[in-house]
Amino acid sequence: MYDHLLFIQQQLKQRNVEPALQQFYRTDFPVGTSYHQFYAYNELLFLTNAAALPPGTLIHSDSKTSRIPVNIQSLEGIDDYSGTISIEFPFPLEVATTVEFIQIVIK
Amino acid sequence: MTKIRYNIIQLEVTQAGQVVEIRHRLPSNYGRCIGFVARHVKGVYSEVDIPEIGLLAIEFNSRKQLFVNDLIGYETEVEQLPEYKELNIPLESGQLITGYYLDTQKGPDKWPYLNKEWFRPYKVAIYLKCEIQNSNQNVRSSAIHTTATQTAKC
Amino acid sequence: MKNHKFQQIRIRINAPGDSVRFAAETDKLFAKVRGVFASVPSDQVLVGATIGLKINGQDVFDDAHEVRMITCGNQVAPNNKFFRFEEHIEAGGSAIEGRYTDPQGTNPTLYPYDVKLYLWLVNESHSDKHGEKHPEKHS
Repeated sequence: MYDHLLFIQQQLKQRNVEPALQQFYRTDFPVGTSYHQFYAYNELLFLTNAAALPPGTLIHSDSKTSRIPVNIQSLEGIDDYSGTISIEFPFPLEVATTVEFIQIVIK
Repeated sequence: MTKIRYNIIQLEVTQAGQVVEIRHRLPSNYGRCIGFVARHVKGVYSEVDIPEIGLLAIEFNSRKQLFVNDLIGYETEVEQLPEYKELNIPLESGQLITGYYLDTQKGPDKWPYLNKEWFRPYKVAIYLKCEIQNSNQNVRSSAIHTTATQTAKC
Repeated sequence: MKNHKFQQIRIRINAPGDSVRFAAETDKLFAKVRGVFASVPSDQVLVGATIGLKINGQDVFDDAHEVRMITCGNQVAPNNKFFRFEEHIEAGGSAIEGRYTDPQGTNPTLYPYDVKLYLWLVNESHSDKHGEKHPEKHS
């Protein structure tokens, strides 16, 4: 987790983003979920558990879009998303899944 | 004297539902981005216009500014001249233009990511209209032809 | 003295995928290139066709610039067909160099064909001197 936080701090500094709040943000998806949409305007959500998502999952936002690859490395998945965020699974979930982010609310 | 240059970012989409990352560096003498057009180049074929084949996001100056969220469509016939959408973004020298293109074409199946047989690869181009501040001429070729109109196959 | 001229450059394309270099010179009686318009005989050869253009040693379009960006259909009024340059591009006998690249995989019965490139040459630097009613399309 140290690497995650360090990476995020460096990202914010490089992009001149001043955080007003930093906290964890979790969303639980029950079995059968195939699509979920939510909003994160004026904030950044850094995905921290990409490896827990099924390969092929599409995370789509205004600033960044990723599809989860088969063999994801821990740091590779720390992309940040903002605006309208949608999560589209390649097929309806067969097990309950939690998506974890670090939420940065921008000043 | 301010000069205008058109910088082109070309993207190749080879899979249905693909996310194409954009990581592009503009020449360091570009001072400002004043417009853009993004469009399908070739590869998609349809007898009717398709309002959306993909979504595009572009950030400037190494992810400091998100300025472009756009959708790309397909046109069957040539109609109007493509119009540049207006921007006014001072460019920091040597910084990256980043973003993504997401293919959103709808295939015949509910889960297009799993069945790709209907898909044909295609290209998308992003034209960035930029100002450069110096007046040095940017000569690409040393051959200046003084003859009348002529063509030569190379 | 004439103030406008539409100069034509013809480029012969013999086969799918041809990449043809062309060279010409602007009419020396005109000071400025105001715009450009490309004409091809079929939309089928237009999809993916590219054109690079350099006038008076100045890069105007890179080789990857699509021809589609400087053309439009017959329903567009002639005065609005041209892609207009916002900056001053010197005419007055300037050398023109370029490369047209045909897209591969198009209908072979369309070949050979000619691409016609029209340059709009003017002597006045300000459009309002001619009472033009059409605003700069790409400003």
